[in-house]
Amino acid sequence: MKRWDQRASVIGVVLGILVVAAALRMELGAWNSPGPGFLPAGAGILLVILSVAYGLNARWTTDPERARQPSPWIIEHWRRVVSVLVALLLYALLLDTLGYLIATFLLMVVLLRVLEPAGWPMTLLAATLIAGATYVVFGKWLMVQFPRGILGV
Amino acid sequence: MDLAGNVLAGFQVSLQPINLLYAFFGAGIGTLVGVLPGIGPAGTIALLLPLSLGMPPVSAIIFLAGVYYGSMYGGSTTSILVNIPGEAASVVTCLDGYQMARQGRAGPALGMAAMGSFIGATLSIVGLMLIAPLLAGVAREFGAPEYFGLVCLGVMMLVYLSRGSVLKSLISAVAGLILSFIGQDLFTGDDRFTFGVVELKDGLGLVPLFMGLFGITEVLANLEAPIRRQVYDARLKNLFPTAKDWLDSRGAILRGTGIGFFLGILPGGSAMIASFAAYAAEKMFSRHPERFGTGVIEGVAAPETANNAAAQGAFIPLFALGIPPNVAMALLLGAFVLHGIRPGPLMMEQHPQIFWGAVTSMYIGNAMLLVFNLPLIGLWVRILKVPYKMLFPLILLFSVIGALSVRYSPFDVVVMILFGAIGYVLRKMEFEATPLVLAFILGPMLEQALRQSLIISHGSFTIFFTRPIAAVCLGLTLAIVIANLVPLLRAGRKVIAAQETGD
Repeated sequence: MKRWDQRASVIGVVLGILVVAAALRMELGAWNSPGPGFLPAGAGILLVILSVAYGLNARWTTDPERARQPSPWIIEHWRRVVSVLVALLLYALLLDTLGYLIATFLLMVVLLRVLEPAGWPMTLLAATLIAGATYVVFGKWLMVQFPRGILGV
Repeated sequence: MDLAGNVLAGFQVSLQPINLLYAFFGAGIGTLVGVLPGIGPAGTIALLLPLSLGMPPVSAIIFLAGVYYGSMYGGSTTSILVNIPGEAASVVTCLDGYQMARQGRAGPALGMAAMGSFIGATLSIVGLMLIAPLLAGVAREFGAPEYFGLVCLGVMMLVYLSRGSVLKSLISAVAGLILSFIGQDLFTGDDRFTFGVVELKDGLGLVPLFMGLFGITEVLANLEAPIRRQVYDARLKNLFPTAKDWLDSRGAILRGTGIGFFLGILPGGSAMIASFAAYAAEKMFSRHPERFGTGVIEGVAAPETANNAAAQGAFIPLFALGIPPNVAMALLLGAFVLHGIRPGPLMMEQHPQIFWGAVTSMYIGNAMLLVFNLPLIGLWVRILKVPYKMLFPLILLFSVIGALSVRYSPFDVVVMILFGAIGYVLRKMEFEATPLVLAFILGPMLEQALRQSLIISHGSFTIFFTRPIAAVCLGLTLAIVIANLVPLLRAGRKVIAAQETGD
């Protein structure tokens, strides 16, 4: 965990520098008339300072427990997390083309099989019901605009 | 108008059938998400925010507020029956609540939780009605420097009271501030951090950001180790606590209300902190502190009263100053802004019906919640048995629909997913998302106040120290920073000294 803290602090410093760099390209203004880049520059500098403090603090930690703590990144854990995130991203990207009904049906099939999947017939039935019911409730009753896609509904 | 007249006018708004209906749905949905672990009030309010855009402003606030205080009721059910907090604010309720359930006293525990909640909430609403207008009266004189001080203090208090490292929470807050810069400049209209993306011109969407950080992140974290629920399946009978239970809880309820109300008003003092503080206080006052944790009714009454009192008290800074003390209130602020209303002293003057309508609806909502949580308790217990593998795809889908419904833009869905991933990484690294979100919401207010102050003072920072309210707020802010960072520096110096002496 200690090592990860130090790595995170480096990321913080880099992000802070990028923010400052971007802020410097905006108008900073003067003390009596601060411009658009004024506060971003200040916040960027603050982020750098705090990240340095965080990194040093992690390095100097005398808390043996903290130093011994294992890495929080366990592969078995984030495999599921990544697959769900990818499924959601694909959904967002394909939503316009496929339309709400088909895209949602596919998303539900994937998600319902992430944790201890039930049998296929059950999964397909549940996915169909969810896609259909949300389409009626949100799309028809609550008038959320859903993309029509290839089905044209 | 006097208080009675205002209350009467408020009830005229909140008793309109449509507003009764919204209070009913708000409280019901609140109870539902309170009962369900893995989805919290903040995520839910974010989810429902787009839906509320179609309602009149008063109804929207009545509805969303109902979700918030409703969740405080629901959380205790899960704590008592499953030993998993349905809500962060019900964590301590597990300690004695679950023990009571195991001893066959689930009924009185649930009953006391609901009735304690009701008492704490309604007393707190009286406080809200008395204090908010007074505070708004004072705040009418506030200028930019005062708001700058208040916002700084609010964010700093939240940072200080967050779990974990103060340094990390500070970094979180600064990150939120930086995210709030995205979009057009408030004064000049220049693009900032938009990278030429048209969708970013209006800034990052509130709804996708919140739903990502609270909704999606929560689901992702739960996927690691799916929640195993063992609902304590004793037949629920006799929900009414005995006379002895009441006698034992009397002090806990009163003290819980006081502690909760005070911590609710305080920026950063959340319902969760209130519940912990009330439990600790009860243990201190008790003549038999050793019995806490074995199933004493005070251990249920104190935190459940306190979290509801805090939930209502939290509306005071939001309504009177326009400064949200916690994330759920920050979302309500977002709802106000989306409706084109800025809460604060001006709103109390110009739209009194919103304040009084919302406050009186809280009475009605709490009465409904008493019904939801006592006679209808069986319904929620049944919902608790829905397995998580069925639940989480629905939560994700509702989040997607929520993000889509703001302005129908798949871009918002991508932003939401991105922040879900960011939130997950932050959580793994033990960074709190709450300071980030509060700073994000308050960022524009902070920037406006700072820039206006500097313009007024011709660039001199002394303006923040010559105006008493601003000076006190900023002084306290600095004190918190120094009190937290000095020990870190000292620890660092020791290590360096040790290394230099070759230790």
